[in-house]
Amino acid sequence: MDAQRNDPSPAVEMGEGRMMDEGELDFGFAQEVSAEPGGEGIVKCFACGSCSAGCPVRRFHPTFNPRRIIRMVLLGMRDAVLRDPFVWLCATCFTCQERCPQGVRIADLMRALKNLALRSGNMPEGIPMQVNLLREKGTLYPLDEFDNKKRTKAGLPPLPGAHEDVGVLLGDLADLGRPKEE
Amino acid sequence: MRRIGVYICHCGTNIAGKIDVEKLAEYARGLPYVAVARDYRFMCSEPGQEQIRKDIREHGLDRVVVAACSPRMHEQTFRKVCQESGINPYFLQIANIREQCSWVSEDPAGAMHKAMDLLRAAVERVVRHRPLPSQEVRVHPDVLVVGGGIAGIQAALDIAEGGHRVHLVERLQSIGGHMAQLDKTFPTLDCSACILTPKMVAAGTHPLITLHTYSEVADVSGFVGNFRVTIRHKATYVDHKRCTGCGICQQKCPKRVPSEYEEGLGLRKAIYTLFPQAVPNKPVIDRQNCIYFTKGRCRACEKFCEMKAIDFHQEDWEEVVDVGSIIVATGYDLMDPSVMELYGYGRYPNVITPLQFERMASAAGPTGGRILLKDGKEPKDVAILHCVGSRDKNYHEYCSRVCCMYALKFAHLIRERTSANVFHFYMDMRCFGKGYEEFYERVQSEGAILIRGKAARITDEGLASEEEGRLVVHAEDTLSGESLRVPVDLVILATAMEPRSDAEDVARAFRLGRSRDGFFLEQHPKLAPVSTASAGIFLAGTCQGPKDIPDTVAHASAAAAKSLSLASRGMVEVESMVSEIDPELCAGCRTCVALCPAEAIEYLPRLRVSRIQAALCQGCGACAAACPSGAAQLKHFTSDQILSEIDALMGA
Amino acid sequence: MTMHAALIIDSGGGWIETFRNLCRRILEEGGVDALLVPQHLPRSPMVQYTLVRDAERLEGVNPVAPVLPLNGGTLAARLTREDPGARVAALLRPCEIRAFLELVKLHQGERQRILLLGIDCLGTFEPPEFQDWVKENSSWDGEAFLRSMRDSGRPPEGAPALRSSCQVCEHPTPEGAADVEVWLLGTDPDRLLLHSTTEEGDRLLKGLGLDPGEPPKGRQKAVTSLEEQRREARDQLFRDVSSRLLPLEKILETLSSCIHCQNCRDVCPICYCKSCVFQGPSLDHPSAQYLRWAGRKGAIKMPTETLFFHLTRMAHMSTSCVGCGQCSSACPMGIPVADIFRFVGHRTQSLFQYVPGRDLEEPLPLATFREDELSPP
Ligand SMILES: Cc1cc2nc3c(=O)[nH]c(=O)nc-3n(C[C@H](O)[C@H](O)[C@H](O)COP(=O)(O)OP(=O)(O)OC[C@H]3O[C@@H](n4cnc5c(N)ncnc54)[C@H](O)[C@@H]3O)c2cc1C
Ligand code: SF4
Ligand code: SF4
Ligand code: SF4
Ligand code: SF4
Repeated sequence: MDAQRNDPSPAVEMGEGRMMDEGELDFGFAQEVSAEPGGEGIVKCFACGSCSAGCPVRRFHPTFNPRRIIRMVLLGMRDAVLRDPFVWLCATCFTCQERCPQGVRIADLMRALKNLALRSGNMPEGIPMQVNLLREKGTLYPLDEFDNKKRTKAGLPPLPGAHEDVGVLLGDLADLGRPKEE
Repeated sequence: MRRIGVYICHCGTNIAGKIDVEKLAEYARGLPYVAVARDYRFMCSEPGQEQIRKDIREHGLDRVVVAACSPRMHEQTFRKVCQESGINPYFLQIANIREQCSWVSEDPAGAMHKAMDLLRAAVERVVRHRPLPSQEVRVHPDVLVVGGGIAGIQAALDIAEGGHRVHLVERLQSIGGHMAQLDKTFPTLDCSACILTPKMVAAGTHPLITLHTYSEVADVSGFVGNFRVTIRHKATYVDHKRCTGCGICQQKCPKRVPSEYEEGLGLRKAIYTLFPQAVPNKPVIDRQNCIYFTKGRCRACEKFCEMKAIDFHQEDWEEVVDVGSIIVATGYDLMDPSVMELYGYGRYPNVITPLQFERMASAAGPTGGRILLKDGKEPKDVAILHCVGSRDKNYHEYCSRVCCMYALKFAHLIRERTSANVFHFYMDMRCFGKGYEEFYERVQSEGAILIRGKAARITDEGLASEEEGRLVVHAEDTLSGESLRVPVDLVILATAMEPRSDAEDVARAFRLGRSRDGFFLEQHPKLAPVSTASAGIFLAGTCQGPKDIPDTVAHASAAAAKSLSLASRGMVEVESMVSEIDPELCAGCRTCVALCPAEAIEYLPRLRVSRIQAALCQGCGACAAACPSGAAQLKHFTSDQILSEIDALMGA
Repeated sequence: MTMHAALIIDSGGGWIETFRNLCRRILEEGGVDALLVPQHLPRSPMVQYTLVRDAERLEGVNPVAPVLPLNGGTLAARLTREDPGARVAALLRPCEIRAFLELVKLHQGERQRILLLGIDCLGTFEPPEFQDWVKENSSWDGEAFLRSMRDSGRPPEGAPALRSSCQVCEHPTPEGAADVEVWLLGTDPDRLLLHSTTEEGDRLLKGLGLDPGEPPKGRQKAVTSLEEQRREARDQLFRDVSSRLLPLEKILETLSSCIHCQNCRDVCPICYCKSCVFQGPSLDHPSAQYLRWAGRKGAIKMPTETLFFHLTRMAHMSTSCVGCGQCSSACPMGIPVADIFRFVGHRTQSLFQYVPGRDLEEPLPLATFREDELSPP
């Protein structure tokens, strides 16, 4: 047997050497996550580790471990879960979700956690940038004159740039991308 | 003039929380024939019941309406109250204002309205109730046991010891079931054959047990106390009365096929007994594989049989037996793990099922008890995967209850016979029985390596040259958080126990229900674990749900006790709410005869009318619904009773 | 097992006379002791069924008089419920045969106890209209109708219309359900054509010394084209009925004139109950009940429960309705009962792919369990 990873410094210390105080835990957190679309089945997790054992991200990233993230949610480690960048690492490949014997929708849960993180203002820098792009250009992959020229040549109508509906669809998110005025 | 007492139950706040019970009582007082109407906190409580008794005495009531919970809950209770007070128990009607009203209505005004409707309908109905007598029928003393695994054997022995005749029907040519395939049994490690064979022999020789092997139940009719069972005996092509079981035919038969009993690891002949200690120890010819049957030549067995027992002309035949009760003990199937592609069963030869391991471990088995790989070498590392197909929403949600224990047993056997490392991949170690935790500790101390995590995948992708040709188990040890890849030589899948593939047909034949997991449904999970919804039909062993041998045997003895108590009382009370045919109205069309599931209706050619045998009628009402002239009526559900109820429901 | 035979029509006598002779020979030489046949009553154009044992009493026999005073299937059942003790034969129209077979399935009669002669049916008139027509038309001759229908497919000039049920009947031939079939459609006018479909039928024809012959060429075509025409008329009727009946409340309008006389169920061959539930105790309400109902609604129609009566009858027998139309003919209030029953019956019957009276082997839909029933195909 060989331990594939042996990582001395996980990003979140979970009891390791440190006593966690009950006061640091938010026991309502699991309920809150369960109420999110995708988070419903989370309490059913019996920590078999099928998700982690199959996760491709887990294989390359020192701290990413879906089973452990679920555990932390169940324990109520709200700040640790929402602040840590690890929830954003999920590649949404659904391997875990396919295999989970308890029907926990793990990849969906990761998305739910991202939503929660976002609402609490925690997100990787890239997110506001992407929102900005969407709001201003209407696409994540900006189109310029060059593209439209190619389209015209091919007999296709030019694509519009930013569309106001995108802003409507973005809703509250639209503000995320705006440079903060403080 | 009828005198009705109406009793409205608050059921704590269950009813009173939504419905103004006092107003409802007031409303009841205004209904025709109502002499008293009361509301009370809990009508089913002793003081509640006493109030009814008192009113019947003092007010001379002759009908009772209780507006409360579903009649499923307390109809019997209040019928008894009526009976104790000297009025016929069927002079009661329940208005269900809980399940059908307060619980399901949001709007209190609507609920009140509906409660009034239900109450009015009950009052209109109860005045048309007619007294029904209680009745009993005789119980046939014999018992049928279906399935000759350890459950069926145990039940048959208990009943026979109690002095009653048992017909034991087994599909295969020998009794024994799965237990006959096991090597040693946890937690005491006694050899399975050593404890099973004496029971098989006892069942085979008991004067009160009639074995019907190589047989199945073709048809069941009748009801508790009087079942009529048709047993179909499959042709064995061997006259078992002449056969002495010498075995020469099996030696001479040239045709070899994989043995089902050996789980495909060994071979058998086309004429064969299941295993050497089979009961009865007489061979049968497997028609599909017999050279004579397929090609028209051979007959080697016939040539060598000195007893002239081979009979190629035998045909299936049927036999009818009458019994008073039935025990269904048809056991379980082991799940076929080839559907779980990630584990590679069927693709990798060294991924095996637990029964294959049992046969390999058995001294009488194909390897003589040696644990070997497909190439004949001894494994250096063995993985046992727990919960394969159990506790898994994609396959079976339930825990199969025996896998942890047999997995530990396997570890012990492997450590005892080889020098291999044994890795368990488990989610929880469930060792709940007597002596089980101790066994777990023992196996741990024998060096089993325990990894808490479900195996995600098995591959044959070795990373280094020394892993060439080996299997790699991928899992997370969830306790340390480490992801592991464990190269091994042999993988044993601890697959789930599941309902028999023909459970649906058996359920239909015996009128059994099935629970969500597919096993046969007991009447009550705690208080009636061997009874079923069909009176007189009981369950024994793993056909009701996964069990180990101790639980199977206890369950089987409990079923035997149920059958014995029916047989020893000799009489059983049957339903009073049966149907009846008015000969004046019956046109003799016999539509009801064809529809009656209980075969309770006979046609009397001389009178040209049909007649219901009350003792057989189950009160389903099929005949009453089908009879166009209204000649067939289900007592207590007669047309006038139902129509008056509907009529009252439809308007004040 | 099938045989075909033709009788040359007696010169002068005509088809009906030839048939009378045939009846005589059946009684005298055919091993048949009694024959159920329609005959003209003395001094009346109307025909009624007669049960004849004396071969001299056949002078009024007329199987082609276009009138069906009652469904003879009931009579055939009545004659075979127990062993009649003699060999009986009956001449029936297709709807009567089909009614009889339904009754056999309901154990009200026995197929083996009777030899069935089935005759092609070209349609019938309402009995009073028929009577009036004949009275006015002194030159009426029994064969005029037959000729006209055969030649033009229509009743003769001046005759009333066929009954609505006959106009939409897509089963004008016995379709193999009788022992011997008497063919009218697609045949030579100078031949009386017999066709046996069972061993019993063979035996009868051979017993009469008839020689096997060739079937007429035009038969198949004539039958198919009539069936086709009838099916079209039927579908038109269904469309009419559905616009008259649906939505369901409209059925009340149609049935509102029903006086609950129960004539319709009395004449219905399928309504085999000894006594109808509607005459039984379950629906025999106390007087106060009517007053209570009137009180609840302000006013009620008397007699009550006429809709309930028809719905119940539909529930009991619509899967077996053979569409003979007797109910409509019997209704004193002119309610098109049969149109309604055929409309409903067609739907309930197709639900079970059931054709009443087609085959004794087909079980009654409401008297069997089929695992796949009612599941969409
Ligand atoms: C790999 C493995 C190892 C195990 N090891 C142990 C152990 O060490 N200790 C322990 O306590 N338990 C053990 N068990 C559990 C044990 O096998 C069961 O508890 C026991 O065999 C159940 O017996 P049964 O009679 O209910 O069912 P079965 O053994 O399945 O017997 C049912 C019988 O009914 C017959 N039958 C089925 N359908 C019909 C039909 N329609 N008509 C007629 N006959 C029919 C079958 O042929 C069979 O003979 C193990 C199970 C497995 C899978
Ligand atoms: S979806 Fe995310 S958590 Fe699941 S396996 Fe893929 S990367 Fe891992
Ligand atoms: S109610 Fe009728 S159909 Fe049902 S069991 Fe009784 S007799 Fe048979
Ligand atoms: S309902 Fe009318 S049409 Fe149908 S069989 Fe009866 S009488 Fe004939
Ligand atoms: S015959 Fe006409 S009036 Fe009489 S019951 Fe039938 S439908 Fe009603």
